Amino acid sequence: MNKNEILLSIEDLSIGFSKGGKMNTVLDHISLEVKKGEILGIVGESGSGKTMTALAVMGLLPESAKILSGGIDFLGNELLTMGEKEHRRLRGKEISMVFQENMSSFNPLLTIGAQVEEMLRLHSKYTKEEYKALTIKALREVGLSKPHEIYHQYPHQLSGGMRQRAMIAMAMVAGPKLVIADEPTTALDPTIQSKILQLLKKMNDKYGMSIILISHDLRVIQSICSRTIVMKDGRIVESGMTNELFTNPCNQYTKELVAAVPMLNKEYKNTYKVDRDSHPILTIQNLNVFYSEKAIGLLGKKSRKQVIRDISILVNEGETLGIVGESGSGKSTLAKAIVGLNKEIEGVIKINDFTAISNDGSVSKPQMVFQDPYGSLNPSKKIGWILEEPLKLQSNLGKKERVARVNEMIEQVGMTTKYLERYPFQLSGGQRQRVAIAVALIVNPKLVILDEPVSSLDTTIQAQILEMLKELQRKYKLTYVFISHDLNVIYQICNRVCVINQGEIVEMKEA
Amino acid sequence: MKLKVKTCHFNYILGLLITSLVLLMVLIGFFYTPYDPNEMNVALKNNPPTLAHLLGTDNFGRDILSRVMKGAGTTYIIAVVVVIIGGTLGTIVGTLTGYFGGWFDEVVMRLNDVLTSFPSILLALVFVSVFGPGTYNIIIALGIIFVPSYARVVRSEFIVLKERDFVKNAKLMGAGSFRIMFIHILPNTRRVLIPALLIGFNNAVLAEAGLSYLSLGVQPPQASLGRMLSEAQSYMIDSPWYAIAPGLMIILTILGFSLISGGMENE
Amino acid sequence: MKYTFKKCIVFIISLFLTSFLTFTAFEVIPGDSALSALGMDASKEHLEEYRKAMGLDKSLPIRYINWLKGAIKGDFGYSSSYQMQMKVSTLIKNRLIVTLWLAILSFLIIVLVSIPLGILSARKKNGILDDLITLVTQIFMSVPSFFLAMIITLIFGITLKWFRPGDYISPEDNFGGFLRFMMYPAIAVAIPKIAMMVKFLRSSLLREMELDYVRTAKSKGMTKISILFGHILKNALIPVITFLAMVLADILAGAILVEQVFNLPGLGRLLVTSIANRDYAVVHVIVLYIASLVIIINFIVDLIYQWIDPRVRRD
Repeated sequence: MNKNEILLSIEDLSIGFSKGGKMNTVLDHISLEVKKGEILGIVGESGSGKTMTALAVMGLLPESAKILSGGIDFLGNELLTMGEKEHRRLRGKEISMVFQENMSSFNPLLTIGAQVEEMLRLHSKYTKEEYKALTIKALREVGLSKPHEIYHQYPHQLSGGMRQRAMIAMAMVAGPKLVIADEPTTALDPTIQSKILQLLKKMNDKYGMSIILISHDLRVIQSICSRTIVMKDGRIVESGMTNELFTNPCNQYTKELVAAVPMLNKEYKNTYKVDRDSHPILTIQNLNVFYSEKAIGLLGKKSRKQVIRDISILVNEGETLGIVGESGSGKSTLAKAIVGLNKEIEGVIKINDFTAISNDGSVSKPQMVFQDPYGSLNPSKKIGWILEEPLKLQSNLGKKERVARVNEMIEQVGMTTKYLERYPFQLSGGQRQRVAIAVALIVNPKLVILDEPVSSLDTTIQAQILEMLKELQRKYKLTYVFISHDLNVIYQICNRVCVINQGEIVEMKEA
Repeated sequence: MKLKVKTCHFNYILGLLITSLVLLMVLIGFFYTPYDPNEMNVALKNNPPTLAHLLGTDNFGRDILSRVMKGAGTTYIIAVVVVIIGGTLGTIVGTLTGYFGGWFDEVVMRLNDVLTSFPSILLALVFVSVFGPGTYNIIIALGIIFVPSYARVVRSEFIVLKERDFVKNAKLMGAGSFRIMFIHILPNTRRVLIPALLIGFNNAVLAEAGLSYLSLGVQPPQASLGRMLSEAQSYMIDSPWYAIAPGLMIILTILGFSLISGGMENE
Repeated sequence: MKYTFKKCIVFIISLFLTSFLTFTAFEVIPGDSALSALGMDASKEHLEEYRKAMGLDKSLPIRYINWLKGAIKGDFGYSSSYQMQMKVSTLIKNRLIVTLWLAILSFLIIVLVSIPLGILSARKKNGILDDLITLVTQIFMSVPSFFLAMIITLIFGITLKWFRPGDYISPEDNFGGFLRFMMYPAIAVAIPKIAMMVKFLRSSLLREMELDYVRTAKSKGMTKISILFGHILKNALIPVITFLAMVLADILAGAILVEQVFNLPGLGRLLVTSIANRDYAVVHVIVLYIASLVIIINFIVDLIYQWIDPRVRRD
């Protein structure tokens, strides 16, 4: 097979949605090529148009989408003008897709076997036994150890990683020439992520199909893609060989992206130095935290699980301690225990706040910033009300003083007082997270627990929020406990890192 | 996509229009009706609609328009009181069970499940057969019967909302349970609670009509929409307009409110 | 298996609970049934004697158990109308058949009409046909079934003379005629429910169509039709089953009113007359029958769920 033969070429493609008489362009004159047998990465933030590109190739664009210019050529067939019937024949057989949401992308009422086999039934003619044998072979091929059992199981009975493997089996079973994988690992834990990526690479080596790998995560792209395209706001801003692109980015946006992922360049930058002699502000000794599962029904038994095992941590005043772990490692439980939201604890949590009561009379308890800024702000209240509420509850300031404090705080987080009259749904994700930080800081705490504060934000916004957090730390002499699953974020802001796994500390090191 | 938004909007406006028309008629009926709704006149017995009597007269020669205006008022007052009783108690029960959970919640919700699986008119009939017919009795009966449906709506909202981070945030700030339940969480339930109240009003109107039609609700000579339909039943052959006026009034009331609540849910 | 076992237990407990509650409601709360049977001026000895004969001097649990013993054998005592000559069970038997036929007919009409209409309206989403169906369903949902029954009587009975209003044909005399007559009340009960079902099924289908697994099916190269019937419909019908159970319970209640309009000798009419006559023995049994039917319907729904949805089967 000629490696340089072009399989798919997109030429000058523009797509838009008409909204209120105006055309809202989501893809702006895109041109790209996919060669036979290569793995092409498309990287970009949400809204950059990377998924829209994939849907256009699959012919799955929403009905309201309008094609404004260009075309897509697949082995001499023009996909955009092709009839629905012919296009359907290509789907699955020639081009197939692996989706991000490994649970909801399967029909919950049908077995895994039936759904993988359906792909074969649609595109080939075999006997019933042959269908089953081929399906089981495909399931084995993607590394599912008991394919005969899994054939008869339902999606909800498998783990996320297993479902994603089954989805890859489904995408590959009909022997397509091109597989589009749209954020195939985003919903999975880091250790499983790399296994799934290796699986894609293995299938690519073995069967020589081309793969378009779409991700917001540079490391995912870097691990298996030979060539990469960077997209922003519906445009391709840069493309090239992956290694070259990430070591010598030309475009300003690509530079920002690469800089936000310091592991790629192996340069860590934490500027804030901690005074080694400072006092411990938080002392945790031999902490055990439990979680009781609610009894099911009247006859059910209550089960008690231990989430945190014998953890001891000292956090010094003014430092930033990072806590890293996968989902389910117990890091969020730890955070809730520190602020007192979890009552089922054994051991000692001591907060040595020497300025427990500040001048304005407000008590400085540790405050917390949550991951999801959509959930942490009350949707039925205005921003002003939300900011004032902690002052009403924790200080004895009068109405005027409270308003003054609110006005001051909103500016500290880089916003203006006009936002006080808005509701949370009128703000962007980044703005909401700024408000959430303001809510935490408005009562002058010394210690702030940040639970994945930037995980739900785009990379460039992440960098802005982290920068602001550093600045606020300097200004108010804050101590942070920063929880994240993302080592890159941790390295950008933390002085010390504590890695926890299954409720235990497995490593503690200087960043 | 665009077209859908338009039709929803259209239905919503249509609902508002119908409801305000019907409400206006009822409101006027509290202060003024063309004739005394209970005044009998044998000479005018079972007359079809004329200019003097726009909707005709009934078997006692009473003006049907006046009776519909007054009768709808009675029906509306019953329905509003029922919704207030059921809505308030239901919201309190739903708030407490949803927020605190535990065995209290288990027991109350099992009871709720049993009650909601029975048609409300059947439960009302049981109540009326034990405690006797009459306006007050059906108000109490329906009010109690409506509690579970509101409790369920509010509870399921609370179960979702109480796990949200803004509630945890409020706890961190030191807000008490009462403040969290009623100031922080409850306003967020209005998205489902207000349509539920409108639908409840409709169900109450239907239930009143049904019970009074069976002569178990509002007692003569007082007019209500169901009562009038019951009286009209025997005169379907000679004076069908007698039944159609109160019937249409029920349909317009329910249509208007369900169009409005449908439009709200779509927003 | 555990699920089935649990549901069976819940089923049996609910039946007992309902029978106990209705017993309490109708045998205890209404007051001294000896007094109401014999009249206010009955002598003390007479009353004592009556109470002893009817077992009224025993404690509540014992009276309940005695009543239950009879009830299991189908003996519910005597009606207080008809000079204590009529057994409640005999009074009810024929009426029950009429009401059941009415419920079955209207249920069939609802299912047969609303499922195709619901699918059609979801498939033609945003079309004129869909808008029309939406508006018509809204209007029909607003019509009380007994008013609809009056209109049907007026149009088909009085004006068109397709049937004679109030002239009920018993199934023993002429079964075909009985069914033909029953179609009119059945339609009156069914129409508002059809409208509700169409609306419910439509929104359930539209919700499913937005889900990720539909996109997966499209990416496999399936046609719209085979996605609808192979993937979406089964998922969309799951919530509809619960809704149908509710509708079936509602039909039984709606029948009470519609029977009144069409002058049908069914349970509903008997219930209303018995309430008016304060014939508690009869009211008690009718309420118990309808309540038991509702419980049985819910039990069957639970079993269907388990059969159709693998997620329920596991836990």
